[in-house]
Amino acid sequence: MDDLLIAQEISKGNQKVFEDFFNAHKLKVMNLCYGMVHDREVAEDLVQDIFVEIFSSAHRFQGKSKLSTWLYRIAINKTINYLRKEKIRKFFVNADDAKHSIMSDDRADWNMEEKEKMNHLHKIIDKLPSKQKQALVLFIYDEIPQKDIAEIMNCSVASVEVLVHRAKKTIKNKTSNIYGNII
Amino acid sequence: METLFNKDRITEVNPYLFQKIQNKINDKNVYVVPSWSLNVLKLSIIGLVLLIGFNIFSTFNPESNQPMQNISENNSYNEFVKDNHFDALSSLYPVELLKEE
Repeated sequence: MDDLLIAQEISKGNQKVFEDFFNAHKLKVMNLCYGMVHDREVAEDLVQDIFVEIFSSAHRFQGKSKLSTWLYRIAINKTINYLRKEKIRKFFVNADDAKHSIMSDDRADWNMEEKEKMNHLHKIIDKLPSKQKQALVLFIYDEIPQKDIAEIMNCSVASVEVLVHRAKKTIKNKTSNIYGNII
Repeated sequence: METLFNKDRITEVNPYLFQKIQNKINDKNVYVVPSWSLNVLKLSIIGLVLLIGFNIFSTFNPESNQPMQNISENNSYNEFVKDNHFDALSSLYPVELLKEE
């Protein structure tokens, strides 16, 4: 079905089309949110808000880009807004360390060393410049081709390549000192 | 890093997630506010702010604070006195008020 037609059906309240659209993109959107916030529960809440937003503003989709591109843009904006609010909240309540320790405890299939490495990686990713972080998460967590990332981020493919390369280089430099070369 | 990221990637979502989204949409529809009412509200607030601004401007503008003309210098007042309307009105006042203490 054509993207514009899907958006029209969703805006009309067609539950079947909306559910199919959700099922087709839920994992990608979930991974995008999780890659940005590193907290599964928060990511789930964000996915809910994103799809509610899609449902209520589907009538605004004009078909100038792919529907999935539009979805990812909304997802990125919602996630960035959440992170901004969280940054302000953390300014008043120092919950950063507590959050990471809780996060590592809910992974039963991970050994201590893996948890420690992943927590460290999450912290490095969080400190990356916003654009680098977005490009890296879309590339690594969502496995989206760089051409599509360029469309989502509204920049050139070359820019995406540079952003991903710089992000990987930063991670490599910051992890090699502690764990050796894990990249 | 690839191995770690592969392991960190989410492979399944909460099976009730779509139901939760549906519930949120339904809740949102209950409290839906028509978009025109928001525009009316915005215009009302702008109008109110303009009125308050104009009022403050008038209060502090020296040109608009002309001293009130003495009522006794007014032609209408003189005509009112001339026609003895004050006397006529005095009969309507309570006698107690008209008496000097």
